[in-house]
Amino acid sequence: MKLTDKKYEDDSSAEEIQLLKNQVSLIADDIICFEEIPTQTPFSVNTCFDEIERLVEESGASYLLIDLINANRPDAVARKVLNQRFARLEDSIKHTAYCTGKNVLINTAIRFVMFGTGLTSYTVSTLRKDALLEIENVK
Amino acid sequence: MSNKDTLHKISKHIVAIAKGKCTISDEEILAEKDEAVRDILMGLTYLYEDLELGKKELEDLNKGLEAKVEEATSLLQQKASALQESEKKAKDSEALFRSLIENNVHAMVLSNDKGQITLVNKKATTLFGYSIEEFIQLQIKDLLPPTIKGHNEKMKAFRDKAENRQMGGNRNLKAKRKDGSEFDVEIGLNTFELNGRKNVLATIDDITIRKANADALVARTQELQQFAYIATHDLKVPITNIESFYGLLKEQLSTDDEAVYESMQWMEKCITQANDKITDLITVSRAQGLSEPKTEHNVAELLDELKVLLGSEIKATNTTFITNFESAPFVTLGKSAIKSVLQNLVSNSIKYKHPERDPVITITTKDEGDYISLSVKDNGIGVNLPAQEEKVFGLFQRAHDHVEGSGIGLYIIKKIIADGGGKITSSGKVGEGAEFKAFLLKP
Repeated sequence: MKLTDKKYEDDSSAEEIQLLKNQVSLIADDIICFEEIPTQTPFSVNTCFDEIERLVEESGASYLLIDLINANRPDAVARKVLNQRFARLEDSIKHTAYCTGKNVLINTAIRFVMFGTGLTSYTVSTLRKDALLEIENVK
Repeated sequence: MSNKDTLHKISKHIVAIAKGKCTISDEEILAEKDEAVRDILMGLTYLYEDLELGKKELEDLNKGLEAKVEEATSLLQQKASALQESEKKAKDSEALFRSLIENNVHAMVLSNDKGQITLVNKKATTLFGYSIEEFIQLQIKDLLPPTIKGHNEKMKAFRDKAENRQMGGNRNLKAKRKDGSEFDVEIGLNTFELNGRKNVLATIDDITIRKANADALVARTQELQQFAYIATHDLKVPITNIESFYGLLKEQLSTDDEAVYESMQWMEKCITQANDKITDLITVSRAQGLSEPKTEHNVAELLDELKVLLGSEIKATNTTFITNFESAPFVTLGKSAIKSVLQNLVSNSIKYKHPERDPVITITTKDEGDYISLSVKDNGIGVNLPAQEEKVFGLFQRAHDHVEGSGIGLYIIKKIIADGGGKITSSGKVGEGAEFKAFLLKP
């Protein structure tokens, strides 16, 4: 089973929820990678960010790589939840590196989402490897 | 596109957003080459979206708030009407309570746990001579004569016990009027809790007239008892004379004449009957007039004396006694009275013995609170008790006719015991025996 570009709400199956959680993984001792799904909902955002917080708690990872290559720009409701969840990571995340491919709209959206979260250290790259390099540069 | 055109485009979008519509498409943003303009367009899009979301959230909030206000209003209305209802009930109850007190034919005085009078009725004002305003300045103790001591302690004990009771009926209880005069009262006390405090409602009756009547009745009864005693004694003399003259007449008259002989027999029978009747009446009137002082008696000694007195009957009937006076060896009553009680009960047990068995009489005493009980139980022919109690204890009444008797014995002992402040109970079954239990008041 694979995730699609549908809206995942709180009526999602356990398997779907697990797939949502699988979008978040620890790719190095201190780097968490989050591959955003195409369509964000408050439910999907909260499920993925719960997983991010769990990994932060367990591993002490303080760098976040967020892959938005397949993501559409979030609507106002999802944006509001994203904004709140990023704000909760202010004390534990030192740097957030985005990779967006050629998604110009998302590049602009990142600035609006990150505004006011307290996470001021972030970079936007086209490719994932460049985003990883940005993290290494910051360390 | 020139700067002027760009500004014109942006201002057009702003006006549209201000009118509640977003005219910026993702395609337009993507087509924009200038990053700053792209940011502005995206920013305007987000601004519009945030405004719409804010509007929706505000609407939802308003709806929720309206629902909450409605719910709170409804709850308040319910509480208000429940409060009104309970206030009405409380007012009705209070009105009923006041009406019951106000219109009561008895004087009623309500006091709190400090003994302070809080409510009185008109009858109380008439009885004591205080106005209502004066009353509520008083304490209950102000209504009692100075001779009554320890009232506060007694009232506290009564309130703590919270047991309703009647007082003054059988003893001299007096109350004091405003003018200081005293009068006989009977008081009913009822306790109840109000707002966590114990209140006492006293119902007071002036029993001066009733008490005077009762005293007069006692005096009149004593007079009548005296008269009956004298009258029976006075009757005894002419009957004895008639009996003597009849004896002389019998010697002088010839008994050959059958008719005369028969008349003489009838006359003799009538004289005997009249004599017996008068003897019984003398016994009864003597018992009623009995006013000897109460003294303490050893029951075992009394029984020993009685055994000597009834020696021939006890021997003839082969009567045996079982006794137990350990828990209460002494009883208190007039000497003649207690002897009479014991003699009557034991004589009856022997007299009404079962034809097929020897009499066994069990006599015991027991401490029973205010009383010492004296029980005389036999294995005689028995009586259906307490069904036949009225007949057994009635004057000139008899439960059995096959044995000689006047029917005054149990009547007299019941009277004697009652005069001493006690009572007598009976139980038994035909064919099995009877038990009479005298409860004699302790000194």
